[in-house]
Amino acid sequence: MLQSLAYFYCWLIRFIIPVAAVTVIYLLFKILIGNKKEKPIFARLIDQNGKIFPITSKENIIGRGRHCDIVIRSKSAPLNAAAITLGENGWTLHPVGDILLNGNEPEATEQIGHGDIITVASAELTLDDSRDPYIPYDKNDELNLVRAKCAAVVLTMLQVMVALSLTIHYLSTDAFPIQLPICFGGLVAAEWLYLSVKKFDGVGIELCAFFLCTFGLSVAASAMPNSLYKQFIAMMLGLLLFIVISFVLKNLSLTMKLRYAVGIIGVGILFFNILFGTELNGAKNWIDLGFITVQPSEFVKIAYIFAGCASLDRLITTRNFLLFTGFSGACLLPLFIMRDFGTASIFFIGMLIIVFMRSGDLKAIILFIVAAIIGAAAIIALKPYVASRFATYLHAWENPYSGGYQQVNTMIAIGSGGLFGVGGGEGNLDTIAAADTDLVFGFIVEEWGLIIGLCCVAILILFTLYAIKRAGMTRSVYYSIAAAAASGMFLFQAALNIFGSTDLLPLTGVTLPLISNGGSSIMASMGMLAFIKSAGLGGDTR
Amino acid sequence: MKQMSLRSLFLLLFTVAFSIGLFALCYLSFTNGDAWTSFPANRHIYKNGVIVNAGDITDRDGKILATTENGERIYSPDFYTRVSTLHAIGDFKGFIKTGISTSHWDTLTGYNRATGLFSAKSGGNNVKLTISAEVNTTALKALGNYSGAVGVYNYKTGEMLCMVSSPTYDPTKDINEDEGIYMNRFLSSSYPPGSTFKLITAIAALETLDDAETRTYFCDHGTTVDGEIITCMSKHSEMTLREALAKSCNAYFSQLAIDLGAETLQKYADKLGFNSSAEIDGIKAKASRIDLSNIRKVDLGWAGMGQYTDLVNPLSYLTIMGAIANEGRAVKPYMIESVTTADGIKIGSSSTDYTSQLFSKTTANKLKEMMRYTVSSTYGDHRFPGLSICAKTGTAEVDDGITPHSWFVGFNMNDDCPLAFVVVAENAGAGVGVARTVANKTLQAAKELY
Repeated sequence: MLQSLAYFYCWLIRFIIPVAAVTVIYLLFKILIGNKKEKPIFARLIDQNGKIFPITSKENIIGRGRHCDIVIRSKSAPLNAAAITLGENGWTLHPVGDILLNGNEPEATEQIGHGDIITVASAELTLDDSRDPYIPYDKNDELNLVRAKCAAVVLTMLQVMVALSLTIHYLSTDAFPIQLPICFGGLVAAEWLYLSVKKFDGVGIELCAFFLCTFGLSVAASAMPNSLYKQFIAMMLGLLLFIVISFVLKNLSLTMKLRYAVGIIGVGILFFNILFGTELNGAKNWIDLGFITVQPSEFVKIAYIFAGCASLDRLITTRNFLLFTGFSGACLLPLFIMRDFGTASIFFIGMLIIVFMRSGDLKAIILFIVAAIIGAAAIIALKPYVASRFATYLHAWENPYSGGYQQVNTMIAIGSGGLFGVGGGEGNLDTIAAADTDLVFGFIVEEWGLIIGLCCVAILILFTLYAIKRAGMTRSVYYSIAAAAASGMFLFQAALNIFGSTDLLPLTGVTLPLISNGGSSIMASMGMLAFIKSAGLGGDTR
Repeated sequence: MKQMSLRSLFLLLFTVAFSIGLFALCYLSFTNGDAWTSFPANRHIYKNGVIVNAGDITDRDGKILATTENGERIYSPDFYTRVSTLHAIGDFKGFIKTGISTSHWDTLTGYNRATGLFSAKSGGNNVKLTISAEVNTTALKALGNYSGAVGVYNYKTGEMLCMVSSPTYDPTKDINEDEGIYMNRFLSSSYPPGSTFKLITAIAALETLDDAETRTYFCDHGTTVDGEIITCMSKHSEMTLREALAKSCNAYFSQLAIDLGAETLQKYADKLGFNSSAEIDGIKAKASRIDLSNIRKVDLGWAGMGQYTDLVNPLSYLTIMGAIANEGRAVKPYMIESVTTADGIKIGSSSTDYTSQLFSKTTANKLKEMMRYTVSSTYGDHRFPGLSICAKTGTAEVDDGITPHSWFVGFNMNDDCPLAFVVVAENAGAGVGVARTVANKTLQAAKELY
């Protein structure tokens, strides 16, 4: 009786779980990219003819260029004339081209106030900040609170169903892991504690993370229940890291002060890794701390973005990328020495995004890509064993028991799972090496079905869409660049993981962010999320 | 800030590229998912290269032909049941591609693209066949040492009662030779049709010539076409279609074929299913072949009596017999009667499905009468006790010095036992000999089911 009830539950749940997951994903899309927000007006510039230019951001460029926030239609005006930014001490002018402030040549930075006149070519712009900043009341914010609450409730139902499904699986075996209910319970408790403290306001990114963590835990529970505590603790430490980084990022001047220190620490860690690292699965990218092994390169991703992004005043005044390029090289070189090519390519993509966001220079991007291709060719020519690691690429089915073993088994798992999966814990992929990390997409599809697999991936896509939508609305370009870099690196890493395990790309052995089993990966991914979240720091919150 | 908005579109490129990749992956998993899932390394269903998590295959009486016991896949314990139904159910290692075990692995394991292998762990689905192990046994014993194929089906409902291919083997024993034993000759082979092809020529004549029944041709131990002789066994002199079919006169049918012309004969052969493969439960059979383009007149004469390059597949012939018996429109043969889940819920059953009208009802009834006359006047009704057989023999010349293949095709015209049959025995000599005997023994066994 109990057995057939359990069977019926497992049969039914396969269809309810995807419905719940799709509902959560829909709500998250609505919360993060569904709203049209009216831009706030902080001040105005009024020219001699009475034409009004509203200032809607805290960082603005004045100039002739079409990319400028305030476009001066005069042939004699410089492409970029100046930047004006709003800080704690009011407005600041950063001249770039030939301009006058109240008739005089300005210093490198000038505090400006109400009534000051900026002359750009023939235009005489008078600053008007006499009125209170207009902050539009957004009725969508109310709606988002409701959406967040609904998403949290459905997500918790989902978590209970997933945990129960795994429980039923383990009850039919001899060994029931007590870690299972404790860790799932812990996740739900931490989630509700966090959301309540935040009063469900602006928690879209965090809800995304909790969704992915749910399936991350399910993979750990199914593949190796003994790793559940470790994985759960790493998640909680990751959440803490997320909170700390978010706190620092909120304070832009503190962030700018810490950049150099963080960058130096990041490079330092990588070189330390080369000297004292241990080898695991062909890459020497682990450090054994005695009681636990960590993968430092995961954390250096955070340092890389933290130090690599810049705010507008620096962008517009220093056109020199030498320092950033050098910093990127200092991060990439150790990764090549460690033969961690997957992570190296993720850093490379992060570099491309940051360079383009900072400079808008397509030529530089093409140059970097050409250099990378030449570099890759040189490595393959000099060290043929590197190429041999990718020898079975696109030929997995011809070598199903040798080089293509992991890919073939991943595809078998995807086929066996169908749209709804064979049920929690019922998958067979767990006996294959790295199933819960490198092959985790197949793992999820086998047990929970393709719909859930696609839901998890949809969240990673949502992150980039969020970064794109928010890019022009953040408080500082620093956040725009950081969010673009973090979400782009996530997406590229997901591509390497998913397409690598299914033989559409070479198998490089990187994790799927926020899902793969592994403490360093989950912690660092949670930290990276803070950058994506920072794109939500709008101009309307002073 | 505006330029950030523009530059962030760079990220959109990544997102679009990623989405395309994801779409490609979904597309692949949809088109190749069944191939991925049925790969022998899949431990959801396989054990040592054998699909074990699959339901039972039973014959029409519920006799178990294949089942899983204690995690091992096993065949029927009865030797003759095992060897005579082997090609229908297929071996478990997958050498017999057309067998149900291989071709319908998805039905047996409960796999489909949407729900994956969820139901495989509870034992998959049971498949009940329309085939009778007893009739199969009789047919295989009757064939004796001859290679060949026997097929019998109910031309009113479409149920295959018997499908046997010889040589066969005992799948529970190790075998080291494979002289075509993995091929189901009923589905995957094609033979020269010999005189049985005269039925096709007769259909083309009855459909196109107004005087088909009355026109006569002369037979003088054959006939001469463009200076070449087409031989006939006897001197039949002047005869009509009815007499010529009964006596299987080569001279008559070669002259008739020449008068019909290559185009007409080709058209009717194609309409009857030549040059396209028949299917049974989605399993594709080998296509019958005929190509009369650019043919010499004398060769058209040979073709009209089945001795040119024509090749006939037994299943496609069975369908033509069904059409003659069933007023020009055949019921398509099937062998899966029903599919039930492990809990006994019926999730699929075959239904009677017709071909298009292959030829007119009048043609069918006239030919039926002629075939009946052929049996009563030439072969003798006493050889088929209790049945009213309409049939045609064939003795298909293969090569000089090699004994010809023996054909016997037709149907029983009694409504209470509506069975059509095709028997072919390789290198067994005249059709009136081995093939006719095998057909009778098989039909006598099949008759017991009605």
